[in-house]
Amino acid sequence: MSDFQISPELLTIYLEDARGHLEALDHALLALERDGLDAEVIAAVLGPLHTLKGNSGMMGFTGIKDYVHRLEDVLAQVREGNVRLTPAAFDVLFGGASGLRDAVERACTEAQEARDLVPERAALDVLLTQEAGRAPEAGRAAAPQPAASEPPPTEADPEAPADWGRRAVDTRHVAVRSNMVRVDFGQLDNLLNLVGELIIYRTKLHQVG
Amino acid sequence: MLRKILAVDDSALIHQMYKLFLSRYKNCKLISAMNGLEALDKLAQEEGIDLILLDINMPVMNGLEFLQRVQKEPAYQSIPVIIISTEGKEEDTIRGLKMGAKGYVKKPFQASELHGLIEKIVGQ
Repeated sequence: MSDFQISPELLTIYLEDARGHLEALDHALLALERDGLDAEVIAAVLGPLHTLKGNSGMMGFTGIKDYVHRLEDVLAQVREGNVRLTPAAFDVLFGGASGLRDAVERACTEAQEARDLVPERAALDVLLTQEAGRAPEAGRAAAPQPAASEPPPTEADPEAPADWGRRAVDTRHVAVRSNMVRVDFGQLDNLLNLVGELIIYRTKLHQVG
Repeated sequence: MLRKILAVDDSALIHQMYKLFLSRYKNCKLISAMNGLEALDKLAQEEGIDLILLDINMPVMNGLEFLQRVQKEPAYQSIPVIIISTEGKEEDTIRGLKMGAKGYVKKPFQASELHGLIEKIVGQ
């Protein structure tokens, strides 16, 4: 029990800070999925997670703090090569990140924890306890399940490395994670340049015609 | 009597909490720094700092590196340092204590815990 009052001002500061840390987590997970294991990417996200953990604890959001603590453990083990980044592991990590964001937002709206992260934390525990490269489907089993109305999940080869192209067509993942599409800025810039050129050439063709 | 406390933490939330927690020390100025490097600047700018509250895990310059520099500088080495650590980094806290920190508080902490330790260390 805190011996101070959680004020709206503290909630606002916490939420603003937490959103930045959660964005760092999203970026790190996407980079790991796209490019494979990179110790620097993991090291870069552990700092924000550590701060989020400390802040959540200070606000009395114990469930969020405990989840982030476990996530730190998992990422440290990934960095050490003891937990493999299989598609099933990414299911757990992305599902957890989505749940964590929901928990943070709801805690700030209601000024107390309103979203249970126990299932997501249990899924991380499975990742931690299973031997590297063995039984990764257990992680999928413990992860939050999609709604019944959603299409059945695509069966992924548990031994296969993360495959950006194959996962990109798995609509279940997209639906579960976010309603936004992240596009590399360079690609977007290139696309806009191409559109610009297209308009110029079309205008020239009209003039010739 | 406490006149100036330097709080070093990369979290804006923690700085806001320090404002609340330390308001009981009347006429004490709270100086905030977001990392070790900024804290070294503040030490150079502000005379008469009585106490440093130091987070460990920070970007740019972490708390241990800051502490090492403080302990090497005769003008600063007598300033008591309290480590404000977060669960899961106990080895860093132990290193900090070996490097000369006077005490530590683990996040999450209560205001009363911080008051008790400050008053024990600086005799407020």
